[in-house]
Amino acid sequence: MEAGEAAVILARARQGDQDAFRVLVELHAQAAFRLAFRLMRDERDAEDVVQESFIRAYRRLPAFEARSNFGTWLHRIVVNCALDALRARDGRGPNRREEPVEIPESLAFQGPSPERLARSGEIRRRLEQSMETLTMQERVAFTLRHHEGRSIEDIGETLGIQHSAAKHAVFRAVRKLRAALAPLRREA
Amino acid sequence: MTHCSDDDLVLHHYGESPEASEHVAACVVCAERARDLAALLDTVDEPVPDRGDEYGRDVWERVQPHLDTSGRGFARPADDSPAKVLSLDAGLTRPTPHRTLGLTDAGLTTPAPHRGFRRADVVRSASVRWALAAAAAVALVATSFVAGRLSMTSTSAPAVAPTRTASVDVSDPQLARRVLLLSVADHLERSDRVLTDIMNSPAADLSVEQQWAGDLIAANRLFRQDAVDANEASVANVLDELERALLDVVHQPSDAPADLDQIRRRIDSAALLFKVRVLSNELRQRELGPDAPLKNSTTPIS
Repeated sequence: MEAGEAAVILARARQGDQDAFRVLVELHAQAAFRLAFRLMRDERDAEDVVQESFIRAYRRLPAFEARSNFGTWLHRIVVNCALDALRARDGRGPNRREEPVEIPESLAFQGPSPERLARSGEIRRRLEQSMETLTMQERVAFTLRHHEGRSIEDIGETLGIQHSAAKHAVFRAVRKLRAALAPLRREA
Repeated sequence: MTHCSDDDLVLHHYGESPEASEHVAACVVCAERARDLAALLDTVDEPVPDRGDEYGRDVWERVQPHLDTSGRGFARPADDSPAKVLSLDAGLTRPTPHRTLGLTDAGLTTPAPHRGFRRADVVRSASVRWALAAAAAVALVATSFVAGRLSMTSTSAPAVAPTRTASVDVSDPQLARRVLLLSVADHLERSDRVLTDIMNSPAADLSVEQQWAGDLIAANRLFRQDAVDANEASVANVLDELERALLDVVHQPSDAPADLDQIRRRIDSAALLFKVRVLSNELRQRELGPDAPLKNSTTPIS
């Protein structure tokens, strides 16, 4: 889509044209889901976040500055919706993904193929567990930096925190992930 | 020479520190540590489930009913006062957006904190929530009845019913709850038919069953959420298992019979069909009273 066409669609959507907003939804839904899934780490929760994000975006479109990038703006709405959902999920107590998982101190590999499978499964389990130990801020900051390629400065603005706080949130997340995954890498 | 700290290497990895990168380029030790860090962070890259080319359209179908056609904001009931009689367009001509029924937003029970962000702006009155819930549930039952009648003559699939309008007296919360129980039971029966087809189908191509399963997921999700809110743990647990199985079916590649066998084994080992049938009967019992006969379940599970 050309820039001029995108601007016209955005302008129409801001005036309440649902057909125009539909175009925006269809253009950005995949990216919104990818971000939501990485933050929520659960398909169903991610779907809820995507839906809520577009509803919020529609309501707030009149306040959207036309010179801004819609994708970046929506990105922040998705993050905020995900944060709300994560807070709510934390409030509900342990969910199905937080069931205790036995992690052996070391793996006794029997052969090359099972070894790879077991190690890959073990890495996934450890990753899941270590992601659960991240605070919401650490998880969002790491996801935005690592998966979404957002700058530390942008992360700070998205989360409404200082640049240094955003940077240290990423540092802490990496330290926790390293502590969980490094032993497996050494065994490999 | 002062080597990079671990944090410096993180900044270098993400291109956030020219100074650290300059040092890494000149230092063998830090270059090795940087490679280690990069390899470790590579393991964090996990695939995101593919949503398919139609995903944008699917999202729109779920979002659109929540947009106010007359202005910004969520769609609201025309009248917030307690309604005695509601007329509701069930809107079941499209298969997936069961949320258009308003069940989720209407809130079948006391809103739980985690759902407040979704529903706070939608409905302000508890009585209206119940009214909408009852009307929507009755509409669902009515359309399901028609769907069931149609399916008896054509297919065992959970047919998509035509758009209908249903009217119901919703002043009685007990009536609303009873109708809701019937709706969940009806949903379970349709799921039963789909799962039975999947378990017994001789063909590897389950594209039709996948479509039916996809149609049921959205309704299942909202029933599950409402069961959680209503502290109906056993109902929520079965619906949770059912939703996972439906998602498995929907996401199964059409050319992967091995995956299909795995899905069948999972359904079988979880005794999911049995649970679905038992719960369906139990809900009907609760609705009809203890003297009502249990519905016979004669369909083979596999």
